[in-house]
Amino acid sequence: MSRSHYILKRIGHALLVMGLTYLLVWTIIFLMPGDPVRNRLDNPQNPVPPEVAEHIIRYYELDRSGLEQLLLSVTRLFQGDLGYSLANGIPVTELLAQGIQSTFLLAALGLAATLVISAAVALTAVFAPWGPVRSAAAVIPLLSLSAPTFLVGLLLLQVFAYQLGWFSSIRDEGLKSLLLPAVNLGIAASPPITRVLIQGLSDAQRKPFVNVLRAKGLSEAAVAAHVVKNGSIPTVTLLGLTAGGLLTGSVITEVVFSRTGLGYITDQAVRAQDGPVVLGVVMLVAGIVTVFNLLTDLLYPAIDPRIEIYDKSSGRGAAQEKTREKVDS
Amino acid sequence: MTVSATLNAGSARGALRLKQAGALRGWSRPLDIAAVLLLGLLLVAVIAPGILSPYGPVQAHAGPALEGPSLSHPFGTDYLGRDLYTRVVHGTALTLSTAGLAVLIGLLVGLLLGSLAGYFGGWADAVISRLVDVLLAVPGLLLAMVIVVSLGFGAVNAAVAVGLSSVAGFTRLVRSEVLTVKNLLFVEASGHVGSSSRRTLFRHVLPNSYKSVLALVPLEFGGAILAISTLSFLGFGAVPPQPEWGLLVAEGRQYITSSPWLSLVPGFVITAVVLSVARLSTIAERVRGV
Amino acid sequence: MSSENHDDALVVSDLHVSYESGIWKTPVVKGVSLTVPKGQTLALVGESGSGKSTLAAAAAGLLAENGRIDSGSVEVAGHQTVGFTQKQWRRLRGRNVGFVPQDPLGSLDPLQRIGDQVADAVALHRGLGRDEARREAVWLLDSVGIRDAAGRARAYPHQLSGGQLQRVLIATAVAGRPQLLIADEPTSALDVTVQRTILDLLDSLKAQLGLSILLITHDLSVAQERSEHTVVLQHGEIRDAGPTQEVVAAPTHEYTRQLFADAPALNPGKYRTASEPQGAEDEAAVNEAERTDAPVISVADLTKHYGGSAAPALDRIGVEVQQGSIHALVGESGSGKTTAARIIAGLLGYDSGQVHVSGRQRPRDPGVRNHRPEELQLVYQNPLAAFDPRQSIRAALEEPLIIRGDADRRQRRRRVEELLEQVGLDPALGARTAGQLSGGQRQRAAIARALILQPRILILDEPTSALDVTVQAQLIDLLMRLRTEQGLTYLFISHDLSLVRQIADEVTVLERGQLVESAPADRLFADPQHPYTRRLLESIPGPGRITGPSVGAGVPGRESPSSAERTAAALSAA
Repeated sequence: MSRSHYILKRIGHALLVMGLTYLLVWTIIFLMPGDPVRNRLDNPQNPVPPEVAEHIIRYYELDRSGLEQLLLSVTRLFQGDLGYSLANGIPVTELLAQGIQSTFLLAALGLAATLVISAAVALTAVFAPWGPVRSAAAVIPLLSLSAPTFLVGLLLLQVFAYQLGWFSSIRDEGLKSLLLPAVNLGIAASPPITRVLIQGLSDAQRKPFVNVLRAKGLSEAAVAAHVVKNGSIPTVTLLGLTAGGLLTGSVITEVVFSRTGLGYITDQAVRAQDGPVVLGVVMLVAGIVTVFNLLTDLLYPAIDPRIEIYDKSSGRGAAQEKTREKVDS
Repeated sequence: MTVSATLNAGSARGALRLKQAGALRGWSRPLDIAAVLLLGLLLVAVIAPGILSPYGPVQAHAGPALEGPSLSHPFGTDYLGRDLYTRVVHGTALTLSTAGLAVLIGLLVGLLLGSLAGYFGGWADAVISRLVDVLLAVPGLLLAMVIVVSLGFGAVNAAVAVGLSSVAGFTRLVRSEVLTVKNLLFVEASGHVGSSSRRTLFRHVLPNSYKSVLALVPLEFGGAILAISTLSFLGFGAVPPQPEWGLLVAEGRQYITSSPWLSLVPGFVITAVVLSVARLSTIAERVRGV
Repeated sequence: MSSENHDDALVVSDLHVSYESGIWKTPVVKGVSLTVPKGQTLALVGESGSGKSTLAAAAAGLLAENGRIDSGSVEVAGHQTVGFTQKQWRRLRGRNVGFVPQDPLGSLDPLQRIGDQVADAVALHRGLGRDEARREAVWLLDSVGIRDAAGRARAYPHQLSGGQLQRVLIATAVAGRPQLLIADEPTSALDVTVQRTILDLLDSLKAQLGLSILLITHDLSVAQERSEHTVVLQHGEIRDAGPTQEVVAAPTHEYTRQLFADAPALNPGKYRTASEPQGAEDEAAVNEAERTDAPVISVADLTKHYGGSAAPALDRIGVEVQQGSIHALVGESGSGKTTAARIIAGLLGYDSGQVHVSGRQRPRDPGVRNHRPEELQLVYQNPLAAFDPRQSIRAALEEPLIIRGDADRRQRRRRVEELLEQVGLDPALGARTAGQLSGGQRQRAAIARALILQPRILILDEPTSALDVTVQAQLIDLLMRLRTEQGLTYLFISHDLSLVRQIADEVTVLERGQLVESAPADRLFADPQHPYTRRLLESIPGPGRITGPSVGAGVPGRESPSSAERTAAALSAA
C-alpha cells in the first residue's frame, strides 16, 4: 500500500465518519419522538408568535417526510447553512462563530495545562528517587478522574478567587481569568494521558535496551532521555480523545466560571432543547475530534519507525486501537 | 507470535491494574476497609435511608436556613433549612440506581453488538464498527446531551442517555476481546479435540472474553455516577426537589460564597463514592487471585 | 581499590545476592566464587532459576532495582565494585567491561538508527566527534561481520535479523575496548546456524583482543566447546567448577552428571542402544499395530502461500511418515515446519498438493471443528496457551470424551485419572489449571489430552523447546515410553538437531519452505547430501558431532576466514 493511497484512505474514512455522524445525530434530534422543533412550537407556556411559527415550519419543511427533511438539511449543510436557533432565531453558524474564539483559546490553554500536569505527574511517578513520592504521584490520575469536573472548578474558585482573592470570579480580567478554567480543564483531561504515559515510561524502563544503554556507560540522564522518548509515543494516540475531552469539558468549565463560549452556548441550547444549535455544536466537535484522529494516524508512522503503513481494511490504525483499549481498562 | 503477543497484551493490562493497586501498598489495608465501609453505608442508605437520617429529605425547617456543619446537621442546612446530610442520604438511591441503569444499558447493548461483530466478522462487523466509529467521534458527555435533547429531561432519561453514550466503549472492548480470544491457541485446540464451533463459542470464547469486560463494570459504574451527576449539575437530569447529588451541588452554587459546604460536601461525597467503587474493583481482582 | 592479581578480569568471591519484594527476601545467588582469568572464557552453566543471569547482572552492575548484594565481593579489573553507585560504575562500563544481552531484538533502542547506537558508545569512550564516531561505528559494524555496514548503519533495529542485531550489540560492547565481556545467553534467542557464527565471532574477538569472557549459558555443549573454565550452578550454588576439560571428564557432583546425561548433543546414542537392536517389547508393539507398508501420513506437492507474501511458506513439499516411526521435520525459524505440521493436523488450509492422513485426504479448507480427533492429535509448543485458562486440567481432558458422547461420568473420570498417571502426573494435579502447573507438568498434561481419544498418530510441535534440559530429557523419556506402550507414530517438529539425532528414524529438512533433504536418520547424520544440512549439522555444538572433517571449510554462509582478521585489524588499529 503506497503512502498516498494510505493517506487518501484515511481521509476517506474520516469523511465517512463525519457523514454518518451527521446522519445519526440528525436522526436522534429531529426524528425521535419529541421532535424539538414541534415541541418548541407546541409549547403552551411560551408560545411562539404565529408568523414566526409559520416561518419555522416552512424553513424546516415539517410537513414533508423525514427523508426529505434530511436531504434538505444536508443540502443546506453544503451551502454552509446550519439552520436557525429555535430559541432566538439567530443563525447557528453565527452563534457558533461567537463562541469559538473564546472557547478555542480556553481549550488551547487547557491543552497546555493537560500536558504540563500529565508530564509532571508521570515523570514523578516513574523517575522520582523516593518510593513513596512515586506511589503518591501514581494515584493522582485516579483521584482527578474520580472528582467531578464541576467540583474541581468550584474548589478552584473557592480557594483562589474567594479565599485568596488572586482572581476575580466576576470581572473579566482577560488572559488572567482564563487561568483557573484552563487548569480546571487540564485536570479533567489529563488522567488518560497521565496513565498512558506512566504505563509507557515504566514499560520502556523495563525494556532490556535500558540495561544495554547503561552498560555502554551512558549517564542516567541520557538513559532517561531514551526511556522518555520511547515511553511517550503511545500518548500521541490520545490526541483526538483529548481534544474531545477539552471541548466537552468546556461546557462545565464555562458554566462554573460564568464564561460565554461554545460550552455556554451548548448548555443554553440543551436547556432550551434547541436542536439545530446542538446539532451544530456536535458536528463542530466531532469534526475537530475526527481531524485530530486523522492527524494521529498520519503522524504515527513518521514518529515511530516500526509502524509501517499497514494494510488494514478496517477503520483506525492498529496502534491507536491498542492504546485506546489500554485507556479503557 | 500472535499468541504470545496477545498474551503479553493481556498481562500488560493486568499489570496496569496491579500497579495501580500496588501503588498504595502500605496503605492498602486501611483504604480497603474505608472503601468497603463507605459502600456498606451506601447500601443501607439505598435500602433504608430512614435509619441513617433523622429528618425527611424534603422536610423544610429541620434547622435554621444556611447553617454551617454542626453536630445536629453534620453537612449543614440549605436555603430552606433542609438538612443536607439527610438529603445526601436520600439521594443515594436515586444516584446509584440511575448509574446502575446506565451501566446495564451500556453493558447489555455492548455485549450484544461486540459479540456479534467480533465473532461473526464480515458484514456485521463492518456495520457495527462504523457505528462505533461514529459514536466515538462524539465525546461521551456531548452525546448524552444530544440524547437528552431528544428524550427530554429527567433522572431516567439521563440514565438512558449516559448508558447509550457508553455503548461504543463497551462494544469496542467486547469486540476486541472476542477477536483476541477467538484467535487464541486454546480455542483452536478445543476444535482440534473435536468440539463443535457452537460449543467452542459458548464454552471457551465468550466466557473468556467477558471476564475482562465484567472486570470493567465497577469502573464504568463510577464513570456513570460522574456523568449522571454532571448532567444533573447542568440541570438536564433529576428535577428539584429530588435530592440527586449533582443537583445538590448545583443548588448550593448560588450560595457558594457564603455557604460553600452546600456545594462542596455533596461533591466530595461523589468523589469518595467513585473512588471507593474503583477500590472495590481492585479488591475484587486481588481476591480472584489475578 | 586495586588488588594485586591484575591478571584476572573478574573475581567474584562468596557472593550472595537476593531479591526483595516487600518484606520477602529471596536469595538467588548463595555464596558463589569464581575467577575469569585474563584472555580466557569462563562458562557459567545452569538451568532457569539457577541464578546465573543474576550473577551476570551483579557482575555488570545491572541488577534489577530490587536486587541486593548481601555479602561477598565482585572485582572487575581490579576494582571492588560492591556498593558502587551508578556514577562509579560508569567509569568501568564500556572501557573495562562490556555487556552482551540475551534478547537482541529488545536490547536496542527501537527509535534510534543502529549506527548511531554504536557511535554513541564510540564517542563516549574514545572522545571522538560526532562524524568521526559515526565513521568509526561503520567500521566496527563491518568488522563484526555486518555486510554493507555503511548502509545498514542507517537501519532501525526492527529492520535487522536477530543474528545481525547480536553483532551490532557485540560491536557496541567492544567499542570502548574493554578487557572483560559479560555475555548473558548471547545465542539462545537465535537460530542454530546463526548461534554458531556468533560464538565464532566472540571467539575471534577474544583471540585478537585478548578479551576475557564470562559466558552465561544453559547449554553444556556450548560450554564444553567454547570455554577454558566451567562453573555449574544450581539453585544459586556451585555444583561443579574447574577447567572445562576436567569438569567434562570427571564431573564431581550428581547434578552435573545428570546435566551431561540429559544433554542430547552429548549423548547422541541415548535411545539408539535401546531401540536399534529392536528389543522384544518394541517389536511386539510394532506388530500389535499391524505395520503396513502404506504410510500413515503422506504429503505430496504441498504448497501454501500466506496472504500478502510473495514467497510460498511451503513449496511443493513431499513427506511420507511410516507407521510406528518417528519422523522428524527439521528447520530453522521461517522454514515452514510448523506450517506443514498445522496443515497435516488439519488446522490450516493449503493451496495445492495432496495431504493424506490414514488414507484420507485433508480438505483444502478445513473447518474449525476436527471431525476425527481420534485419528491424529497435535501437541502444541506452548501448552500454557493451548489450555483454556478457566478450565481445570481434568475438565480439559474430560471434554473430548464428553464430545465423543461417553455418557458415564464415573468412567470418564477414571479414564482421565488413568491417563494422568500414565504421563507421570499426580492425579491430584488434575484439579489445577494449566497456569498453576510447571512447564514440564503442563506439557505432560497436554500430551495426556492428546492421547485421551487414543489416536494412533501424534504431531509434536517443538514440545520441549521451552523446557530446561533435565525436564526435556524426562519428557522425551516419557514420549519414548508411550510410543513403545501404545505403538504410536510421531511426526516430531524441531529445530534441535541433537535431539532429533537421539530419537528420529527419518528426518526431513526444510529451509525457507523448500524441502532440502529427506533421509533415514542414520544416513542423514552420517552422510548429509545438501550443503544446508551440513551447515545445520555443523552447528550442533559439542564433541558428539558426527560430521566428518571435510565439512566446515568452504560451506557457504559461514564467516569467511578473513573476517576475524579484519575484526582484529579494525579494533587494534583504532
